[in-house]
Amino acid sequence: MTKARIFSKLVAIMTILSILSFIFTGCGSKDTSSERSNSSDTTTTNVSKTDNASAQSTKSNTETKRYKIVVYKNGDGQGRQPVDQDPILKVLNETLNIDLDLNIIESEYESRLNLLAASGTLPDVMQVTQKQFESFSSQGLLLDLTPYVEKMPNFMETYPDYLTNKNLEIDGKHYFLNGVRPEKQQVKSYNSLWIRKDWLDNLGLDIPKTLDDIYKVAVAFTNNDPDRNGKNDTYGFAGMGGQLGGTYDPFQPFYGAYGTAMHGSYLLKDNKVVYSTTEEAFKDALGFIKKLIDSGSVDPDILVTKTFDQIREKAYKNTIGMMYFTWAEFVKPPYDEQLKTMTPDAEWIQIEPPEGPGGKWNGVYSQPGPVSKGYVLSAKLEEEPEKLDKVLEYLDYIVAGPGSNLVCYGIENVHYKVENGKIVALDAMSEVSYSWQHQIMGRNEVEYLATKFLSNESHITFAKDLPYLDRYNNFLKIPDGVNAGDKSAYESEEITKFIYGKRPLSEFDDFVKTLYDTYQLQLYIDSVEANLKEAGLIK
Amino acid sequence: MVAKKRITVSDILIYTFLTVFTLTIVLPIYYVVVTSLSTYEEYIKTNGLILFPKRISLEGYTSFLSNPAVLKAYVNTAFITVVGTLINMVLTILMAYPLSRKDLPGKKFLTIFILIPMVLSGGLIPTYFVVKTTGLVNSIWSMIIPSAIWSHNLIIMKSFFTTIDESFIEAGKLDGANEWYILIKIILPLSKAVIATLTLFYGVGHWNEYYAALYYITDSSKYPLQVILRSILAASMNSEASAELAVNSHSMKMASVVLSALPIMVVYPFLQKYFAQGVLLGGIKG
Amino acid sequence: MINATEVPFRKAKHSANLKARINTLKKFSPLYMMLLPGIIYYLIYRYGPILGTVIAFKDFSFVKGIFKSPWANPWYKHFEYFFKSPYFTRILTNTLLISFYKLFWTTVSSLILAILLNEVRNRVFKKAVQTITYLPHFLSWVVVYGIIHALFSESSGVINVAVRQINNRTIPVMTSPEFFRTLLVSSEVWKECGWGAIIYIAAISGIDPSLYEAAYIDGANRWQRIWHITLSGIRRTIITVLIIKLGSILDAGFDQVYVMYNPNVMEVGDIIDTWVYRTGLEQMSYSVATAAGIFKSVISLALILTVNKIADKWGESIW
Repeated sequence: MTKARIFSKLVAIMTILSILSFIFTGCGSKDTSSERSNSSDTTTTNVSKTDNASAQSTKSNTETKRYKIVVYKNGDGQGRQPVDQDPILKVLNETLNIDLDLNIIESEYESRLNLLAASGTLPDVMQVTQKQFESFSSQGLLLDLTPYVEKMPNFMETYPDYLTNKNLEIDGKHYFLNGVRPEKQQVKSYNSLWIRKDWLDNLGLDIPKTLDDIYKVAVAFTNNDPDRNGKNDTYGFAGMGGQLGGTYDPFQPFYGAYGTAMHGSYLLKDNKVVYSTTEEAFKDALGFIKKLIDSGSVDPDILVTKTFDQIREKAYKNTIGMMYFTWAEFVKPPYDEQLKTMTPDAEWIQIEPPEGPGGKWNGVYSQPGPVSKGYVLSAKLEEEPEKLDKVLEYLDYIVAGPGSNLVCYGIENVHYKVENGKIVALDAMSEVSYSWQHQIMGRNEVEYLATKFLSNESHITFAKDLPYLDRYNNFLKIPDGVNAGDKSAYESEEITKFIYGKRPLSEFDDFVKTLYDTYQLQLYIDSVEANLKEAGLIK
Repeated sequence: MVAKKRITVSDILIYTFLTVFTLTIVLPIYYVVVTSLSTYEEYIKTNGLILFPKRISLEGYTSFLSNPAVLKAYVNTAFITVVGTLINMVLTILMAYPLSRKDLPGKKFLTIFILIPMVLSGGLIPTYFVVKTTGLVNSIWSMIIPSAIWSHNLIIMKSFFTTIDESFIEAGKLDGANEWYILIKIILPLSKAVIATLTLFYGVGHWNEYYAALYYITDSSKYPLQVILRSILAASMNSEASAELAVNSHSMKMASVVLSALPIMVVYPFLQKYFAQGVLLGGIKG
Repeated sequence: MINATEVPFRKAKHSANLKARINTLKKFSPLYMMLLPGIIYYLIYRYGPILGTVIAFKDFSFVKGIFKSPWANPWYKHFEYFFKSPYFTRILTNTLLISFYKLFWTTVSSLILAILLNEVRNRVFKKAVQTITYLPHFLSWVVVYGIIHALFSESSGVINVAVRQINNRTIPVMTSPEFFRTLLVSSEVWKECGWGAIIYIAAISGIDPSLYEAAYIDGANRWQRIWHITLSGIRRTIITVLIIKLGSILDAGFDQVYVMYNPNVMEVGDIIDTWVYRTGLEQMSYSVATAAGIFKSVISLALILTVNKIADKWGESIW
């Protein structure tokens, strides 16, 4: 019996000890060790072609401290290149004498950033959603850049009106590091309508130019076996309807033909803010979409098509004739080859949006406002002026000049070379396919696309030169006490009901009325109006 | 066991029903496996109805396994699963046994004590705070300790223990055994089925760990399998991915399913023997 | 009324009681020691966070943290926001309906599977069926959705293509409100039936085989044996598992619904968790999310206590 007693005491002690040790080993492997391990990751070299090149860049000054800069980027649905295979990172660290911790967060970005905010460990540089921005800035978590931007020469040169442009100010402060790149550097969109030219030829049809044409072609594609395979397996129109109201909303050209935009857009007409969903023209557009759906020529899967893969699959299976899609996911390498392999005889071309009673618009362009996709800095940097300087130096470095070339194209003479003042990609460019994740400060889009995607020049130009309707969603500050999630759910659901005939269009006015009464739409409109007035865009 | 040589109608019904049901599972699983082994081209051309791939392509698998992060992730997950399950079982057993004793003072209170967290939780932020305060953020232990006991499993085990006839315990006490002895030498050997079951439940839970890692770990070398697999998959579907990753994206999708499920599937048959009928001696209350 | 003689008597009784209590504690001390590590765990990692539910009664701000954030005014402000949403009735109805259907059908199907497997004598067949049927549990809903899409997509799904050849119509399995709940429940059953059966199989293995022999001798047929021996033998397990599952009844499966839903089916598929997700996404309201969570917990707890009381009448309370 004494043995058992000793035994039981021992077990008890061991249990308690093990619990304590769990806690302590947990403490041991805290952030400090992870910091060190991160920097050792970046400095241990994996022998690659780029080693020689980086050895020639400035060696680190051993006297000054090497600061670790933490950057958080929303990388929803994206992967991250392994840190030891990132030549750009190495050069950045060595040139600037920093230890860059670039975090591409693959999912749950908002929650994870919120957790950091809640525990007081926000990253130095980060992206934020609008609501996060409102919340963080009102609690003093973000740095007001006004006194500091002048330390960034490249930045001031690229965005000379940053400090004077009222659009970019919030209560007299500047939080976002996003200027508006000059118009000629912008690319408003990659989307456009695509159509099977070979199917048109097979059926003896012309390229559709009006809404009526679109309708006729869609019906013909569905019923007249355009791929000549003897089977009734084709649909006229498809798209990513799983993202209604988002960038890839497939019905955008149809809204555009009526002079309006997809739901949830704040437009400016006659010096007044107009909400697209409530327009008479919107109702007409829905009528057209309904007509199209009723004819059976719209892919029945359209509402559950949520990913690029799904659309591509439909194209490869020869089941769709027209779609609203982005060239970047369809004909950019490696997809161009895939397309050729899967459907060697297919001829997909881009076409202009159809003309309708309201004109011709391919989609919307969200005018940059106070809140955009830019980056903000943590207010904690104010407490470490030296580190803040380093951060600004890093950000300024990649805005223009050699730093920008680095994050866009890689290392000179390894991934690209300069010929007659123009940047020419070399074969090794494919090594830096992740460079876009480094482009925190944006890029000269036109030059970038032209350099990296030579084979897509025509696609790029076509899409970007189409007409886009300006919308002002970036000027919305969500009013207190409303539920924006409920409102957009209501809109998507009712719109779906209208176009599928589950609710008669005669009830459209009731729908609009509910938006105002139950969902307090006016508060939203007022907010946009107020901000536009402040920015001087409304008189 | 009674030896019945005749096959009855109900036998046939049962076998048929089970076969049909199993087929509804086999076919889609077969679809997943076959797709992971075939090229995207074949998948498109046959609309997914591949009986046997014309050309077996292991690219889906090699794309994953050639990535060094995957191997590390397997190691991490193996550690979490083994150590985690061990801790789970020890703590669960240690709590379940006392709670199963009818005469324990405060039993009802304690049972409610473990019941409440099963339905009520503070949510993400408070839990994160606790994990952070106990120093587990960015530690591999953050995937083990905060989930050390599942009330769901604890109640099952406790419930099972109560079915063990008290006479065993009485006999033990008469022989002068103390509680530890009773637990280890008497109760546990009689509980093989429930121990196997819960080991499986906890083990699979750890193997599939995703969200805890996502919120608590920032050092990618500590990520478990699910996180790495999903991230590689996401990378392959991104338009700026490298060419080889992008074309393999579809078979990679399926390959990741097979790779993540395979190891744990292999374990189950070993535990199955504990579920064999009659392994427990008589005397156990129904 | 206390008189002078009672007091010393009470005192004596007290100290006697106290002594008895201490003795009891001593007697049970090894058991309490066993409980100790687990209790510490619960206190730190489960009850600690529960303190955080106070967020639901405050206007939570990151900088101020949980304890210094101001109290909401009125204190039920966030609950009110939740209850007043135009979708409240809908999400509550859907959540309850979907959860109960799922609970019912998964339990029944797992039970049937476990019982039938018990009746099978061919060990190879038995092992094969068991192993295969639990496989889908390991698939994520994204993959299962992919399979559903491959089967039922109206434009290229295997089944719908076949149906179209015959009938010239397609079945809108994924986009029709009429089918959606059925889709949710049946895919859940498909995925979890085998896994859920494991615990029943384990429980069945604890039934004394001689009971079957005795019943057979008494002339009971197969189905009677199943009812009286197998089912009643695992009755305790069934009830325990049922009660535990009630604890998560209001979850209804966010991952699954999120992957599968689309605007067409929202009215039958929108559940509490998808609403919270949506609200949170646009507006970052942790206070509301926590309030909704508390609401769910209260109902789950009430359900558990009620059902357990009923089960108690059959002697199967879980405490």
